[in-house]
Amino acid sequence: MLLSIDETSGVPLYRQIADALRRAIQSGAYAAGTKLPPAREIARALDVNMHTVLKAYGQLGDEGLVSIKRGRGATVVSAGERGDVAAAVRKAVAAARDRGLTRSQLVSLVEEQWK
Amino acid sequence: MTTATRHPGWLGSFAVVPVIAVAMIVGVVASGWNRMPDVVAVHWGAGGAPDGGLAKGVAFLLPLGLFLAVWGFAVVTSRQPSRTLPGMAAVVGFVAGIMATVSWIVVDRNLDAESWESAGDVSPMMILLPVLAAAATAALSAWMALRVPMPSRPEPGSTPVADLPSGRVAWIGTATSRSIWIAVVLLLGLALFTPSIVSILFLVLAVLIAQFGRVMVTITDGEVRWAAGALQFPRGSYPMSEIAQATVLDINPLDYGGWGYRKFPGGTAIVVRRGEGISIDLLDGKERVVATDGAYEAAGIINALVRRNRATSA
Repeated sequence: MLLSIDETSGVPLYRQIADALRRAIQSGAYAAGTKLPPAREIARALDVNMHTVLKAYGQLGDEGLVSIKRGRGATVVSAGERGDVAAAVRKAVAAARDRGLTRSQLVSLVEEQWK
Repeated sequence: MTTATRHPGWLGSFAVVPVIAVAMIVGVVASGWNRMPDVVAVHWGAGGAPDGGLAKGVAFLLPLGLFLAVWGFAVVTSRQPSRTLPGMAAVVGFVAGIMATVSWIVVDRNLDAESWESAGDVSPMMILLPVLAAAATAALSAWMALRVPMPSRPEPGSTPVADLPSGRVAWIGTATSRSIWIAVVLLLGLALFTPSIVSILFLVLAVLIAQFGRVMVTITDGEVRWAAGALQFPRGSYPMSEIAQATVLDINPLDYGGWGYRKFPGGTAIVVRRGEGISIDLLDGKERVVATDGAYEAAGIINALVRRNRATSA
């Protein structure tokens, strides 16, 4: 998952990290039951305090997106309705890339199905 | 599926050496069969005198069967355009050399003996012989395998470049394997039924293999790093300043001769499972393959970071 923080933006770092994690979950890349990266690794990679990351995880826990268990890390509870569809789209995009379909060819396929 | 014609080097290392070894074992054992006691000496003590015997049939069939199993496994799994061919050939050559010389020594020592207790002694020089022979056949097999062309650079995958958000960027991905637990359970089972010294070895091996059940890949501004399992060992890192580019590839463990941390001429690979991964080209021409989910995203971010670093340092 891609995580980014901008220290000049004025938004608290834990909120930025929570936003990035939420985006990643809702993008469908993490199905329910998937373990999220350990807080220590995220803290090390972004060069922030581990408590900042734990606070971000805590917020996602409050939102019901992840479940946090001591010593077992954070697990995705639900990717949400949007996340479920996003996971299917992600698979479709990967299949299209794999077989050399262009972006517009895939979009027209989606439109065909929508009718 | 294409039916590949076997390169002479492949035949040399996977057919010629093993066939000669098997022919030698069968020939030597058959010619001496009637001159050996029913129970032959198969183990010699520190002083060189025989201290263990085994029924004639078992004594020779067991090692032969073992070698045929290793050989069969190697032939089945060694696809021709494989980067680990020299290593696999060396293992087959080594086992072939050991089996052939040990069988020959066992036959020679038991020839015309009344019983296994009266079989000839084995001198330290004779113990050295199988080791030297195995080293020679292993080297010969590997040398022949090295002549097999290695066009196995996977078809050029896409080289995506991602749009980076402003600020500090990090990417974390994992690759997990379920099939690796089969090997771990197998080794733990073996550890239960073997003497303590060997079982410790199996336990250590099980822990090491279990490490590769889950590998975490982290991309930061400065490097791409990977760490295996809960112990985060083994692990490795590739500085961004040494990376030329990253491409997406489809990993087939058979191309790398198996799972785990693999070395091949020109690079290394961390093979956790079949499927997506990234191939990192280093500036010095070496290749680093790492299995990870979200490989397309990962390769895009590496390429974007490489460009950004180059732009700022220029």
